[in-house]
Amino acid sequence: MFQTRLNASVWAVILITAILIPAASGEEAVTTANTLKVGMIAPDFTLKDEEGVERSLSDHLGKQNIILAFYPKDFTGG
Amino acid sequence: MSEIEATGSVLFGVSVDDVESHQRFKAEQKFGFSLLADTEFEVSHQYSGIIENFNASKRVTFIIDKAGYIRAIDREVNVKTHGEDVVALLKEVLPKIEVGQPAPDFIATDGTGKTHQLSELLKEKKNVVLSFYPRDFGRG
Repeated sequence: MFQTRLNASVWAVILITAILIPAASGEEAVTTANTLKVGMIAPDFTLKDEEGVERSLSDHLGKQNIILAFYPKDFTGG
Repeated sequence: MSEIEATGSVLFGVSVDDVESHQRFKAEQKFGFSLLADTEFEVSHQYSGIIENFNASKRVTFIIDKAGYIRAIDREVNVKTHGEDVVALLKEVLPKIEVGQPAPDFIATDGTGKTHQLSELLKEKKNVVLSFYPRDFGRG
C-alpha cells in the first residue's frame, strides 16, 4: 500500500515537472515548434504573390529547386 | 539573382504582409524575385515559426530540391550577405552525382503527362536507366 502511494506521488512530481518545464521555456518569444527538418518532404502551400497570382510549391516540383526566404516585415531591411 | 537561376532554382520571399504591401516593397527594392503574402500565418507557422511579440515570421531560409525534399534550413540569416550565402549553400547542399552514391530522387513528367518518381521505381525493384539527350527532334 505504502509502495503504491509512493509510486503515485513520484509520478505526480514527474507529471508536474513535465508540465512546468515546457511552460517555463515557452517564455521565449517564439512559440511554434519547428518540426520541419532537412531530408523531409516540404509541405505544399499556395500563397498569393505581389501581383495577386496564386503560387504553389507543387508548381515547381520536377522543374526547379525552391528557396523560401521567410522574413519578418516589408520595409524593414528585407 | 542570375546566379541563383543558374543553379536551376527560384527564390521566393515570404512574410505575413499582404499583396499590396509586397507590391510596393518589391517596386521600392527592385527585387528580381516574387514576394508571397502569408497573411493567414499558416505557412510561416509550418515553416519558419512566428515571432510572437512582433506578430511576424522568423527570418529563416529553406532550400527545397526539385523532388520536394528540404535540403537546407538556414536559421542564422545575415541580411547583408544573404544573396551570396544562399548561392554558396545551394552549391553545397544540392545533390552532387558520383558513382557509388545513391542517386538523388526526382519527380518528372513524361510525354503523356504521367509523373514518375525515382524512389517509387526503386521500390518496385527496378533498375533505372536515365538517358539524357539535348533536344526532341534533334538526333535523338
